[in-house]
Amino acid sequence: MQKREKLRRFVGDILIRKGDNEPFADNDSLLLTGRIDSLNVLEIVTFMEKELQFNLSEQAFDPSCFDSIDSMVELIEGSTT
Amino acid sequence: MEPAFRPRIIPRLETWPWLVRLVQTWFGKVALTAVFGGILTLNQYPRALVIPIALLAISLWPQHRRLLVAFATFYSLLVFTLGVNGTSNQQYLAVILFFVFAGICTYQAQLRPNAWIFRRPVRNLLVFYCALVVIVSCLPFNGFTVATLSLFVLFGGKYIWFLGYALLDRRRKGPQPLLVRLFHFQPFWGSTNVPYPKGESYLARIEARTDQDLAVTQLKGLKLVLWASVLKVLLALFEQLVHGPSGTSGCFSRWLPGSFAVPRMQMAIAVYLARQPFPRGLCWLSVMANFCSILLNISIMGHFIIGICRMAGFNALRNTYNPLASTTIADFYNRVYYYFKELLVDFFFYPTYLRYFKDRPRLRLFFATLAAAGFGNLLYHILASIGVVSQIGLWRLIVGFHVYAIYAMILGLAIAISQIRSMGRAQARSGLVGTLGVLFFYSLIMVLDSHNLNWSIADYGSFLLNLFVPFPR
Repeated sequence: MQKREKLRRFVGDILIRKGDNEPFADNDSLLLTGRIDSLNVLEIVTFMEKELQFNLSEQAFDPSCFDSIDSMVELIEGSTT
Repeated sequence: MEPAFRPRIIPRLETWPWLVRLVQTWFGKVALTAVFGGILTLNQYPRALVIPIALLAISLWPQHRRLLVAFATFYSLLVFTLGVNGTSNQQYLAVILFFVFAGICTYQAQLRPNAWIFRRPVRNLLVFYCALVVIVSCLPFNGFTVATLSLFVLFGGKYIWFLGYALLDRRRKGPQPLLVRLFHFQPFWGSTNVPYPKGESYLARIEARTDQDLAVTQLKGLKLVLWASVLKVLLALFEQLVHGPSGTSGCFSRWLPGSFAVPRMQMAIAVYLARQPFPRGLCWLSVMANFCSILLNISIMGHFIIGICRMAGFNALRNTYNPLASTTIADFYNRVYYYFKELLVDFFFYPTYLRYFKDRPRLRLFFATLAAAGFGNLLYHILASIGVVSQIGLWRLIVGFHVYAIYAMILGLAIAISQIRSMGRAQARSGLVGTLGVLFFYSLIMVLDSHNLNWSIADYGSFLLNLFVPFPR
């Protein structure tokens, strides 16, 4: 499964768990609109490390990169290029 | 599924197309600001004249928003913070020194983000500041230099977390000039030592881009301030009914002549320590009433600040969002004081989480939570009270904070356990029992959330114990 799809599914699960059943597009802002919070960002970081073999260093970490699926994918792809 | 119709105390003004259109006109902007200013005045909000003038200018010339925010903030600093009677030259000098220091730090951090000092800028800033506090507290408080340095430390305590956010933003080169960014520290819409809403780059991301965005954001701001006004009336009624007439609640004494005469919690503790305790039931009521008052006060304060911030065109999230709907301890902490929680997360939680115990997920989350809600929380409150060092000395301040340290550790542990339990769950918990459990926990632990440096943990602990079993002092 593609990284984007895996991320979408994981973020979708988080939203459902929070009782948020609204659909979301890949470029929708999730963090700034309060649909996900800082704890959810950590869940996504852990998921990226475990499932996508993506290692994020403290220096390179920027929570705003977790605002949308697009920005998360950009973060992963940016680190591998 | 959302119900088709839900009665609301404050209607969703931002969804009325005609109103959104009106607020985009010259007349609408003036009318909206006048209504907003009127609400602030009725609530006796500080700076209720200056704020609407600044907001009107921002509404009319949104293309110069950042410059106007910086100017209004500078004016507030000059007139309301420094312009009080008795401001000395040393105070002005300390303020100038701080802004020069903050400017150099921010500029250098952007210029050399990978230099060793800026690799972990917040940690280094806090170490530097704490070292300065220790040095200054050891020096005798006389002479121009020491007095200026003391004021620099005092002033720095109010601004340190703003500077922290500026340093975290070091890799983002915003379009705003350095001076304008510095005058977004303690912005004119108000804040505690906690930056509302976070740093400059966050403001850039939530800024209204179009006239329609601005109108919607401003109407949401108006709505929030209206809601804060309702809560303020509710708080006054609550205080009158539970504690009896005092302060603003006195205005309801004509309609509500009686009260339950529940003692305030601080008095209940003082009386208990004087070996003449109130009946246990009354002590329980004072603990619960204390919790309700804190909750209402935090909500009102945050709603006013964020309401004004939204009126300035920044679509910030609310500081308090429906805390009574929380079903876990971690969820409540997230909902009740959002920007303080974000400060702890940004400065303590993320760095710890990304650095330690990467192979042990539960321990990793536990440790990071404890670092934020425990250590970070304690450090924030000690630095917020740094002003009393000149009166009681640093050592007495630190010793006096032992009760808060225990409070912070219990809170950190509880949030960490709550988070670990939530992680394994597929669905959010719901139900009245969970919510009541959370509220019960917080109302009890808030007994320890005290800044009375004269009482020890034994005093608070025996009062808490006495709530459950007779425990004479």
